[in-house]
Amino acid sequence: MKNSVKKALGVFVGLCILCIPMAGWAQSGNVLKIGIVGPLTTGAAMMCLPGYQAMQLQVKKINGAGGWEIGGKKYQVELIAYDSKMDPKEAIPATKRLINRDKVNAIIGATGNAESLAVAPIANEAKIPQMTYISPTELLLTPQHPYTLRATDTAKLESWAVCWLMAQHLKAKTIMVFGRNIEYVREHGKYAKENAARYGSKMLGEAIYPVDSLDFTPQMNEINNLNPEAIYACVYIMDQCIQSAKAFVEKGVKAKIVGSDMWCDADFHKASSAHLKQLAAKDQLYAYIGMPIEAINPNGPNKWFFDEYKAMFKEPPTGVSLQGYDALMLFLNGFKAAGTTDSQKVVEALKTKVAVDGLQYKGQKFDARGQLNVAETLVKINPDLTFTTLGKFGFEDIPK
Amino acid sequence: MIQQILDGILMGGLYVVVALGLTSLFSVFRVINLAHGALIMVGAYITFFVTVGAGVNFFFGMLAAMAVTGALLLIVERVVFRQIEGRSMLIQMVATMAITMIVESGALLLFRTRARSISTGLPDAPLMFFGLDVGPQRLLLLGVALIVVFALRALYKHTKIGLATLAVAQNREVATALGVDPKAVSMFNFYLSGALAGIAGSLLGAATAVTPAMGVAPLIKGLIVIVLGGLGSVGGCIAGGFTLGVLDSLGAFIPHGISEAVPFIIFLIFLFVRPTGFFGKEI
Repeated sequence: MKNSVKKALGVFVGLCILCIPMAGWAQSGNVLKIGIVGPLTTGAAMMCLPGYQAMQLQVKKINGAGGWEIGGKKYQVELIAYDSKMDPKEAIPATKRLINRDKVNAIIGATGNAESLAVAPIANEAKIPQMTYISPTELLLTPQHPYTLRATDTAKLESWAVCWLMAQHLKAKTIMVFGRNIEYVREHGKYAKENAARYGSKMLGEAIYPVDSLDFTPQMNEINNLNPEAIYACVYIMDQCIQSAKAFVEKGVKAKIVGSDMWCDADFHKASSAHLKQLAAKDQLYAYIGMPIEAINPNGPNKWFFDEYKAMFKEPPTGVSLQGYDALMLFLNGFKAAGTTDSQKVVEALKTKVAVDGLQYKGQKFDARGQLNVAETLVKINPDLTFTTLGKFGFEDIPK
Repeated sequence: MIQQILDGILMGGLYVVVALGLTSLFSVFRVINLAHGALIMVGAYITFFVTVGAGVNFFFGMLAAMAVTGALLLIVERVVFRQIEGRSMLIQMVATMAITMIVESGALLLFRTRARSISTGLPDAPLMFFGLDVGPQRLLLLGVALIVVFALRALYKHTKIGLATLAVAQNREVATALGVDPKAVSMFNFYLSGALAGIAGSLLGAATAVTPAMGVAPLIKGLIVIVLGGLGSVGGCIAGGFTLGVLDSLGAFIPHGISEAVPFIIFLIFLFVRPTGFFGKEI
């Protein structure tokens, strides 16, 4: 017995000795570490996991081709992801771990507003470039956060775009906001109230459902009682979109419905096709999306990405996948343009030299605050669940 | 107001089924099964794959869900509960919470983050009665809940295993001395509880959407219902379920933020003022 324990220990120690030079060899190469903070589990995972998967796909290709060139040297790209569960209490230690232990060169995340606002001060204090491709709060890009960038739209832009669509295209004189009782939706409600008045519409109220709600009928009754001409369905998580579509049909809501990006998602359309077709057949279904609608067409210009993603993950990509891919490529192009991994120079390069060359956008640049110049595409969803583009609405279209 | 109350009663049917699954175990074995939510999720996925994948009628999907979730809880009974039998309630709760995490993580790996939708095949458009709208999908919740309640009543009153269950619930030692096999009773009730989770999963999946994390909210609702109604009381589950349904529905009249807290405030009031719930025994 004693001998066998000795033997086992001997093998273990031998293996450890063998591993030492291998570990040294692995660390001696150039490695560009990108940290990811966001929900990878729980229901909120769909706001981050598809983006992370898109990054994994791209990193595999880059490393397979020999790495990413920065300042004449080839770097292997390493992704280090931590699950924040969409909770700032989880996101804060995860970010500290990425910075202090993993020594990442940049951080992509976080996802929710509260998470991103918790992560930004930590990343900025450590002078680590941080980019969110989901969080839309206006509070994120401030002079206190010079290392923070946003590669997506903002709640303010979304809200202006929706109100413009409802007033100009749908000619709605009365509107309501429908969504979950979270800060993001409350922020939209506040903007919608202000913006609707600018366009001559009247905000009748908000139909807000509790976070853990299994039943949207009370909110549908509220909508039917106030009878608005248009509803801004500020619902963006797929299961809640499915539930909303069911509730709108089952409660016979007559108003025109303007959904968020998720209402353009092919998988949501597949899951809820019967209900969405019923709404679209009555000319009730509209949406906005923070990227050109061609970008999410599986047979469009990004067909290669849809095919490769599906082959690797056995599921189609979502809009979030495209956003994740673009965020990674923006950072990598930032490092390339800076010619160094020096964080200050990378942020400077991103804000002055780099134009996006991604799946959603091509040619757009960051402004001095770190906001990418993106635009909302406003669409009508047809009864066959195809789209008709009604217009675009960018930051420059927001009334002064 | 009347419309909201009506909708609350219809939704309450679902809460009744969830709570009956929880209470069927507690009344006999004093076990609060926190994995009940995960079983509900499994039931919803089974219903989805049978109805959408195999193109079979929703009610066959529900039967399949009952069979699978019942069997699953039976396995859990053999593998987990028999090992921790007689241990403190805290250990039981931690064990069932661990099962939840394992099942949910497995579901996330298998089914990814995409939500699925189940169709019952019933019409979507609401029916109008005296100015009130009643959706066929919502009537289904109430209808199934009533069938479950009457079936359980018949089971406990008129079958040998049901009577044996009541005997074990009252006094395990005396029941055993009288020839009741406690293991058979245990297996039957675990299966029953699992099957009820399967029914709840089918109904919830059809009313909302199917995701790996969908079991958390109904579990919390179910726990509130059994405290409102009284732990271990079938009648209490019925009263508690419909009460919670109506309270949730009337919450729309209360400002956001406060409305979410209403069921929990009432839950706490019951815990302090009437810990026996409507009909139960002291917790």
